[in-house]
Amino acid sequence: MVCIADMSLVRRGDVIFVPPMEPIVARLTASVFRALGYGAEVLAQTPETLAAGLACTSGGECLPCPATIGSMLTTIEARGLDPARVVFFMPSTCGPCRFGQYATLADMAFARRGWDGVRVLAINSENSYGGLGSRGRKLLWHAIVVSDIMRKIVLKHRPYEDEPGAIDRATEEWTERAAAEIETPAPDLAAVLRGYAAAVAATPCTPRPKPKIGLVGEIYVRNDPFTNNGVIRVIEDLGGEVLASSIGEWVLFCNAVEGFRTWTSSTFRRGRLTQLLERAWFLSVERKYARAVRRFIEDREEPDVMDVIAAGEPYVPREFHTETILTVGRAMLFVARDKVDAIVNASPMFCMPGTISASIFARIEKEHGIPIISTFYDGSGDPNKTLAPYLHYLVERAQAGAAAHSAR
Amino acid sequence: MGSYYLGIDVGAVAAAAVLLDEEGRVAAGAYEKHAGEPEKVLRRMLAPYPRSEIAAYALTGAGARRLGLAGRVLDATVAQIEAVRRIVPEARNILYIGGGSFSLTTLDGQGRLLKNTTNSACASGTGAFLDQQALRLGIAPEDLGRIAATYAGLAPSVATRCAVFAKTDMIHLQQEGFPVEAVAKGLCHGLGASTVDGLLGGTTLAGTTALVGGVALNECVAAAVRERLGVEVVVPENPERAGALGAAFWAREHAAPIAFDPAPLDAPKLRAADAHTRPPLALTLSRYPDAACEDYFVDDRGTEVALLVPAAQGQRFRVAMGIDIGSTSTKAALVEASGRTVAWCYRKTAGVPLRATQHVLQALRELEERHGIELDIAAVGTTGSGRKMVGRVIGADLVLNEITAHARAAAAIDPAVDTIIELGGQDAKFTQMAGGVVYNSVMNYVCAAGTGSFIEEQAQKLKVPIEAFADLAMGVSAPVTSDRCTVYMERDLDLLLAEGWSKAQVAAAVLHSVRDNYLNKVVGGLGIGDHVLFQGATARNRALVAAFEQRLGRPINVSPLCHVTGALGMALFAHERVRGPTAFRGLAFADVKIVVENEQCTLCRNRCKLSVIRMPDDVVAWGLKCGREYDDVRPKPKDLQGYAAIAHRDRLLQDGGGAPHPPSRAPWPWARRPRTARIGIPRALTMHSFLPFWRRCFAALGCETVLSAPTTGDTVARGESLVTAEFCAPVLAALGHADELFARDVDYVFVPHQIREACPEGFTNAYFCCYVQAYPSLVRSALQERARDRLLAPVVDFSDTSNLAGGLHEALRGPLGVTRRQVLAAVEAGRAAQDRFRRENLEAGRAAIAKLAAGGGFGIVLIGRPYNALDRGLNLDLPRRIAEMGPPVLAIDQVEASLGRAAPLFPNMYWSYGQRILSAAHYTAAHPSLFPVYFTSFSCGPDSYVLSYFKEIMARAGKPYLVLQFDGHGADAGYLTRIEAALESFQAWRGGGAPSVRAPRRAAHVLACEVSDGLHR
Repeated sequence: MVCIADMSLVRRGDVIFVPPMEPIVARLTASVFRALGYGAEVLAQTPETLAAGLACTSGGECLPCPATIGSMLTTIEARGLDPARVVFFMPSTCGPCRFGQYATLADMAFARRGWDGVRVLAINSENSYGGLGSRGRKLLWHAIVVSDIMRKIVLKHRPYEDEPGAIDRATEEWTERAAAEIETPAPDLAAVLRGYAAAVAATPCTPRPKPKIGLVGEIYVRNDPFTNNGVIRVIEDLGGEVLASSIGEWVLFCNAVEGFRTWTSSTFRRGRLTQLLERAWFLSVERKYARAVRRFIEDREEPDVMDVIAAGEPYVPREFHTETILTVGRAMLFVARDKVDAIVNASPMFCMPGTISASIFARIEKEHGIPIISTFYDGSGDPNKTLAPYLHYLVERAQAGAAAHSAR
Repeated sequence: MGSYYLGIDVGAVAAAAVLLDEEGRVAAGAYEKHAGEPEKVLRRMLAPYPRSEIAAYALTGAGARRLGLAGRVLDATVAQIEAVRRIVPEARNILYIGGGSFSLTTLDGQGRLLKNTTNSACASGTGAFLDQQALRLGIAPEDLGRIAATYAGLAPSVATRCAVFAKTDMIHLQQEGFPVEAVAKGLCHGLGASTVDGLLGGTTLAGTTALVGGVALNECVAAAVRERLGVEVVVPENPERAGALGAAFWAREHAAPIAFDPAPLDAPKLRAADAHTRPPLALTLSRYPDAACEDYFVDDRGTEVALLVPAAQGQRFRVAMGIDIGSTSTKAALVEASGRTVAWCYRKTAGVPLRATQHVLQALRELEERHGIELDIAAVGTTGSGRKMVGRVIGADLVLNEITAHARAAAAIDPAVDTIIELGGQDAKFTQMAGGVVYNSVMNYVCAAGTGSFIEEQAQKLKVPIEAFADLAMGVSAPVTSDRCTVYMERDLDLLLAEGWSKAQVAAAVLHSVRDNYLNKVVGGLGIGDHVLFQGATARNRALVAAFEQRLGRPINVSPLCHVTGALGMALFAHERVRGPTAFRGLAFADVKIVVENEQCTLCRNRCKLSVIRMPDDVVAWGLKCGREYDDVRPKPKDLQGYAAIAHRDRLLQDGGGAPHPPSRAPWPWARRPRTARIGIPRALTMHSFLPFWRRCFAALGCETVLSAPTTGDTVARGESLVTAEFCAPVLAALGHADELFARDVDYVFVPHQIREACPEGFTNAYFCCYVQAYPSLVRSALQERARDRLLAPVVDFSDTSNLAGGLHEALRGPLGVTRRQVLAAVEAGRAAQDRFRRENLEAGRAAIAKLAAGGGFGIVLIGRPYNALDRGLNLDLPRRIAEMGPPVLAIDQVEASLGRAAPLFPNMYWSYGQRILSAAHYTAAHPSLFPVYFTSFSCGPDSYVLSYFKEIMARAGKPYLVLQFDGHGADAGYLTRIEAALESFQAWRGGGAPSVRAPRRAAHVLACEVSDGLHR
């Protein structure tokens, strides 16, 4: 049954399926695999694929798990794929949240169908990224950083576009270009980013007073429009502008955790240097791309993950290796630095780090005087409905504030 | 341009409109229930006002968008705020109870939105629910509150968590003689109280609260809300129009002047062109019996009787009789030794199980008379919720739980049966079998949406007799609808009929809904096998069976005895197990006069409430927990041999620390002595495993440790009142424990961030659950000021010894003045105490298992985290009840399960308790005399995976198991039945060799199911 694999078990001609965690980064990740010589596709999610996943899981698992498993099962069956040529890219962790179990459960689900040949690519920092190799890991980091920046640009400009859909079209086009660029021998993603930024700049926009909403929470659900019922669009349609946590934040956090371990444990002193070098390299890539489009995102600069951790530490210790410290910390920085008008904390239903964050937020909300709304998703109902009244009054206030300002 | 401002509110049940004049005063208003046709109602309401009079307008409510009007649609909460801000300016909270939803909104001092909580997924607190129940009582919905208020006495208790259970309670109350006003009051009161509880979630409100929405018109509900909230509650004039009023106010101040064009209201509402329909209902794969019998009649007391075999005048049938006394219906089956069923009876229990049984016996006598035959009853077995009481009174020879009984019948009907689907009157069961043995069964009695009552309710609504329902729906294509709740379904029905679907199509839709609800909620992710039997009275609805066949794509078989399978199973068991003459009092028992009185026993603290059943020649007392005979005046102590190992563990855990004493030898002559302190330790979470370590550690540092009191229901409630997020019961209890300690006379409360254990070979990590790790963070958030100075919350990582001491020293040096060396020594002492606990605990387990081997019986291993499975306040004391039933019980850490066993299959099992659970599962699966009972908590994160792995391990070993899930609220009703059934399975498994209990293949690709929340989007 155990088909948790590393890259050595992936052959040319196999197709690697990438979970659609976020449209841009998923697309670019697939390109990274293709650049390494493998076939790769992004999985689709529909109500049918989710239902298929829910039908073969117990019901208490966090939503991204049945969602991605369901997509895999449906894809293999509907397209009549040969299981022996299929690979499911499902990174894992070694705890303590449940994410690391998705790979195991997926494996069991495939085995139950008799598809023993399906390999689950459960790479993580403990298994050295499953043999992804230096080039693969580097490309992946570039892809993540570029997608984070593109997302910043979209979120900053789309609420103000004159023609609905214009910036989405530009984003679609330039994501494809970035994907193609990754597959070239010497990709110049900075040029693609510049091109994208210029395209967005050329799109007619009209500044309007809008409240700013910080979006934090569990990494999959906060980024995936399918499982979060389109929460970003909902906020934009209600008249807000979203500032979102990045995806790269998690990678830098894992690196920081490595660092903490090397500082505190005698057996890991040797890893200290590696951790520092790696961190330096991660940041240098971030800086390079940020420089390429500085004008467009100067007020959306990504904070140092150490600052995020420091902002979260009054609430949970750094030894608690889950997203909670990032969720709370980033929210605090959104409030302090970006002066957001509200925070939305999005997680799967019963997500443990998400529930802890929600509990912490419920108390500190009063101290900060802005609404912190925790939404939980399980594939049913419409948790985003709860945002409407808050946005109504925040938009009203933003418009009144602007009117008063211009009256002066 | 006009001078009026219009606000329109279209909700789930009613529509309202308000007109304001230029000065913002109410010029006119209306409110009416729309029965699925809001356009008609609005047209009528607005007819008197010419369009040109309206300067601006706005809409609100769940049904507003569907109207197709051009005006702005406001969120319902916003509309409420706009209204309340102006008409109840002092309000700091808005409690809204409408037809289909309810919500609580909190405002700041300036009337601005702070927080909003809405519920619309379960109908139990809504106006639609009240209306439905009012009609059942024969009261017009608008009179309900007034009539309820006329009852001067205390409101009797009515369950309001679900429409179906409310119905049951109300029927019982009426049978007990309460007048309809009293029942109405109980209903209103219950709704007011439970809605408030549901919204507040334990927090308290401050400041004046405005109560709005249609239900606010009900003075009795309003009174209950007032009482529950404890703050001033204001019901403004016309609370039912608050939404429309708010929309009108908003329109007056903010809306762009758009001409009000009501034309869209007249547009015919056609069904969407691409409306999904399901394939027509048909039985193509399944065997469905015809209802042929030799004779069938219904006697004058409403008992159905059927004779299934030819009978000659004077013929004598030697039979065993099984009686199934359920909460909804009572059934009997008479079966010959060959297994042939001679006759059956079926009737409603109607809240009086003994009398229902007597009616059944009477009906059998009538059968005898009718055909001139004699029924020679050689043995009697009872099952169902009334099995024990009725069995005792009528002299049954055998009493067994219904899961086992149903399974026995199923195995007789189809020896290869692997799945039993059963939708009962008010509950639903799902059973998985292999080789004739039950290996897993699930029961749902909390939500009625997947039960027979659901169908009955809708049949009533559609005015279709239940007997004709199946014929109506058969062969029909139904629209796709939601599977949520009987009350929402009813609302959806109105809409469907209004859209032009036929009654037949709507009836079919009901069946699809109940099937989806059953499969999603009761079955969940469990596999459905290839040999499926459909049992229970609802199986007589062939269209329902067809609905299951359609979705599952396999034969769903129904026996002609589908509605009496419990009784059938008992009759079969009676033949197999009863030797010697029967104790049954005979059919003549139908004539015995029975008087039932209520008493309370005062012999011990339990204070059991008894039903004393008096007959001319005997008295039977029912409800004595200790099991003494009624006339025996001493409470009977229960034999707890089987619980000895657990009791021993409890003692070892408590005493493992030792009394406090300062460090034995100061390292330097001038070394400081640490400050002695009283340290409070919560009796929660990992303390159920590591208490000896910590107590000894603190004792070595010269501190006295004080434990919180053992967990009770109050502890969980206390924790619940401190947080709004959805934590599992052990975490809620842990918060309650911490809260208790902060109120006591201790210097510090020790709540460590317990991160992980040493990682065993083969695994990747050994973390504790996220909540365990973040426990102090939750305490700080929950208790805030109270926790600030006295909380000791070091980060504790057992996988790194030197850091452990270092971290402890960092945390304790300030408060206790200890040196690092002293802490190191204390940690060593703690480890020694913990090792001793581990050894002695294992020894107790070994001894119990050795005894088991000698005695030849079987034992139970309690699989689960100690802080759940072994905490008597959380496990409902079920381990003790299991031991009382016979088998000894052992704790998870009392079996020698090497942790590495689970590693090859699950190397990434990075939770310490998960590793222990899976290893113990392996061990138990392989041991011929041990069986697992898995204790889990509702919403336990890790168990959502670990439980699946556990089932995989048991399936590979081909062994049955029992899973019990707890949510921190009492009531052991269903648990005891399932435990009885499980013990029967375990015994059967041991008796009949080891059948292969393979996990059934998962349901084949499931057809699309509706994931939206219904028709109102």
